[in-house]
Amino acid sequence: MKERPPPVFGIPELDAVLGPALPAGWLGLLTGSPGSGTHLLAKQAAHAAAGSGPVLYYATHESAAEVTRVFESFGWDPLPITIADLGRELHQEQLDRDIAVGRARARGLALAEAALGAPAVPSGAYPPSLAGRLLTDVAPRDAPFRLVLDSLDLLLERGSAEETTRVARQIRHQALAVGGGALLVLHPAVTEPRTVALLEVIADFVVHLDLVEDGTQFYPSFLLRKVRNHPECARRFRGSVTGRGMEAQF
Amino acid sequence: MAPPEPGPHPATARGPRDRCSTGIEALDNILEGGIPRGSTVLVAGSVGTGKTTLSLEFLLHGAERGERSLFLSVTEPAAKLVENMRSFEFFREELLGTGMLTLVDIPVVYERLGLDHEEMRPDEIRIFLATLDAFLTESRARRVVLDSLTSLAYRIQREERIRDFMLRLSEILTAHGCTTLLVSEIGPQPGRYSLRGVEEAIVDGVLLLGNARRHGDILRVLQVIKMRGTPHSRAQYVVEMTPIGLLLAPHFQGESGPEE
Repeated sequence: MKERPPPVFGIPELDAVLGPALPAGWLGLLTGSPGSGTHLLAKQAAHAAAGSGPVLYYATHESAAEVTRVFESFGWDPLPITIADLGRELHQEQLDRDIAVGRARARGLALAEAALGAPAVPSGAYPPSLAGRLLTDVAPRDAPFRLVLDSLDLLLERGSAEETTRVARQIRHQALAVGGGALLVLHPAVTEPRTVALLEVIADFVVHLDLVEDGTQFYPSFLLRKVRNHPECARRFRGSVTGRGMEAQF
Repeated sequence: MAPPEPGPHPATARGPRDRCSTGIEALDNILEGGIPRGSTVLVAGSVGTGKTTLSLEFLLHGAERGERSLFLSVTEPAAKLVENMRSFEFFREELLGTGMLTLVDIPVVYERLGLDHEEMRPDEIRIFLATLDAFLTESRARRVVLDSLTSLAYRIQREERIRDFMLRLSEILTAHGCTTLLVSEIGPQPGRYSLRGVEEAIVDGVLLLGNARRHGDILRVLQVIKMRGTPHSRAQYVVEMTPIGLLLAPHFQGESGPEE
């Protein structure tokens, strides 16, 4: 008997709509306004696939330790998840260089540091490519996997909109080929509208999160705004956050 | 080593101006003994006309006579420059270890000071100039070559900033009593000796290197366009690049074709 694919988010109401409508391999886009819970939902999507195959979680705004701490605070086991702190990987080299430049400017450069025979400068000229890093991880997969990238902002900042959409297409292609799913987090408020629109076209589904004010309370609101080939699936859910993570009611 | 050439600071010099021998005898003769000390001279020319070789010969000639010399290489790695210099008899590698001759890789300065992007901002130009000032203090250089000013000017881009840069550079070089050659890469168009045209207005002298046709051959030629404080010929001279350095001979115009 064919094994059932893991839930997308681990939110039964949302998964019940999405699950039957998605192909065996999919690319999802999770967008949201600041504070609406996109980072938490991204982690929940990683946790939802734990135990079903390799799960790769790429953080760009949080350290691996912070991600682990959030997992544990909701009772989710972080061990099956491969957590990569892309922000640290990519920024550390730049930070090291900025510090070295700041010090060199403050103290002044000695002649021996630039004269013939001076020790080589640690080069910051060729920072590692985030796109290359992601695709190197994804390309060898030959079995269903779950990938969560939180978020695309760093890819857009370090590369270009074209490179970002190309990477999204390639990840989707790989997911379609071997099964599994990839969830990409995007913050539309800091992204060119054309890029957002193009990524929405590429994605098999789009979930948008908002924080809604209700008197003195706030609650997350889930808008399932696109499911490929299933426009009837579009709907809004009222969300909440409990000790088990995010929940939703239709 | 030969004793240092006497070289009073230009600001304190009295009487006839002290000359800085280039090491190229015929050029020294044209210039009545050499470049006036403390001058900043543009060495302009198109590719392959001998600008770097002339500049190096000037520098090595000084270093060998005990004048500390500084080569600021923007376009070519210093190590490659040393390789190229080995074919000339005037190059004495041992001078590199004595402090008499120092080769600086300017791209390393860019990298270490975070100036390695397309256009330098005014604050970055100040940092760069302050670094050159410090290098001159540390090296106690009396002869300086910047190869090339053009490559540097490309990173400054705006004409008014290039003018400010040139004025400040000139002040720094004068304050250190340096005699300086600034290499300027130009195209074959006549009447212009630098990227923006502002550079030649600020310098004290212009040496123009170019090409001329003779009987189907392309000859290197040199002309002194300008040298403040020196009555000089503006005749064209044929330049021979030989293992002992550059040799100049009068260029008989009747035998030549159009200049390139």
